[in-house]
Amino acid sequence: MALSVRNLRLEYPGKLLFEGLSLELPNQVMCGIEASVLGGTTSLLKGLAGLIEGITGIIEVNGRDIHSLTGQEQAELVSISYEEAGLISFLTIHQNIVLPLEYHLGKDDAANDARVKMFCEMFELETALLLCFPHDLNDVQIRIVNLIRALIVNPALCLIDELDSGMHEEMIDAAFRGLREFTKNNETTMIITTSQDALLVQMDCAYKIESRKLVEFVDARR
Amino acid sequence: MPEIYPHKERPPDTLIGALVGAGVRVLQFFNDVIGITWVTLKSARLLQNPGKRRLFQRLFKRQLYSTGVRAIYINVVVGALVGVLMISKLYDYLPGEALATQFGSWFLLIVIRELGPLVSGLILIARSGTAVTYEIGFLQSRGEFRVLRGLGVDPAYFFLLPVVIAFPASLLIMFIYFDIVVFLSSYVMIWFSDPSVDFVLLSLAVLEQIQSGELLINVLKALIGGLVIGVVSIHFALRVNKDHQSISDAISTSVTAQLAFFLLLNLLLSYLAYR
Repeated sequence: MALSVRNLRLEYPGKLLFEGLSLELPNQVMCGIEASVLGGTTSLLKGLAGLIEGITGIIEVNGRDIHSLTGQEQAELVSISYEEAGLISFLTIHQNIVLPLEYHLGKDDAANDARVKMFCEMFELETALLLCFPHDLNDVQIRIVNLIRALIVNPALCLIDELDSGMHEEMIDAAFRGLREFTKNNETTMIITTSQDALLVQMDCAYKIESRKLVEFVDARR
Repeated sequence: MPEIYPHKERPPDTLIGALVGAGVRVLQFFNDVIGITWVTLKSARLLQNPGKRRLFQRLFKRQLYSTGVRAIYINVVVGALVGVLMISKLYDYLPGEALATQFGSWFLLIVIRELGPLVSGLILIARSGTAVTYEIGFLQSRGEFRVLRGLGVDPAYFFLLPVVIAFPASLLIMFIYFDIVVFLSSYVMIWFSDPSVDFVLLSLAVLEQIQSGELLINVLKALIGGLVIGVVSIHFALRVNKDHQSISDAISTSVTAQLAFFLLLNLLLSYLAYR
């Protein structure tokens, strides 16, 4: 299993978000989770990435406990694509994208550049933006850059928070074409939160949050 | 026993409480500063990895450029003014010939030992201490430390180590700029009144005064002073929260603390070295 979650519990002071949550996902799966305002999906993704303290239960990625990983193992196994912000302000877009490659894999500049170019083509990001800083980009472009940075190390599990938010249909199509192309050639399993039912039904599996657990999403239009 | 004073009106308790509170805050401050220094310096072990080292070099050069190299303009201006004013004032007290012969020891005593470290430290605090408090505070308020942790990147290595190493290095560079500029401007002032004064002889008069002990004290002032300024900036920056007011609070408190610690350190080192 790429991801195995058992009996997860997440509570903020005064608010219990999840209790007894379980989820099993094999490799190369695109899994959707229905997002709603203050529904807790962002916290769930951060919790699965091991970024929230006080979360209890078992989270295993490729059989490894998420909380026992070193920085490098964590980067190779799990990555997260944020809905907003998530980039380092004083680095250019190119430097932001190659940061995990430079830090963990120490690859040379030529190899990094080639990889960045490939991802820019895959997700239709203008290469001129690579020299810009995060404050020069709009929300949608920042989300695409976050996505590219999350995928660039070929993680076992990629957690993508509301990628489609604010995108028009053509951009959503391009982004999901890129994700399908990536999944075809890599072992990565993805969890994508979205508020669009039309996208959820296109995923390999889809869930929604109900009574602090994940339950299968059923398209109401069917 | 009946309560004679309402709680707020018991001066001894309030005073003791205030003193205890202040003591606890001071202890917490030192505890935090030592913790930040330790965590940051510990992250230097990552420099053994060639990829991480390359990344560090880029961040370090960026920090050194903005802290040490770009300070050259203000250092030159202040150094030139000090040189001109110092020599013109000395001229009021010493005849030209005596000034030229005693120039080496005056220069060592006033510029190299005291003014160089003091003025350079004040420039570092004003230019870069505030900038680093703002920059790291901004990163903290935007949750970028958490972003780095999510990427498996050590935030201390990435954000803090370049500052902690670049600040002492910059301060040392600034001492050198300052001393050279003061010397040159002093020479120009002397030359105006006595064109026969030889530049090489004047330079040698200064160099003869500089012993290895002087160099060591100056290097110590730069290393410890730069480290203290950098770590104190970081300490207050890390206390910033999402409230934008907290950044300006952090900057003003940080500058006050940096000034106090830097002046105290200079005084202490000078006293220990030259008493």
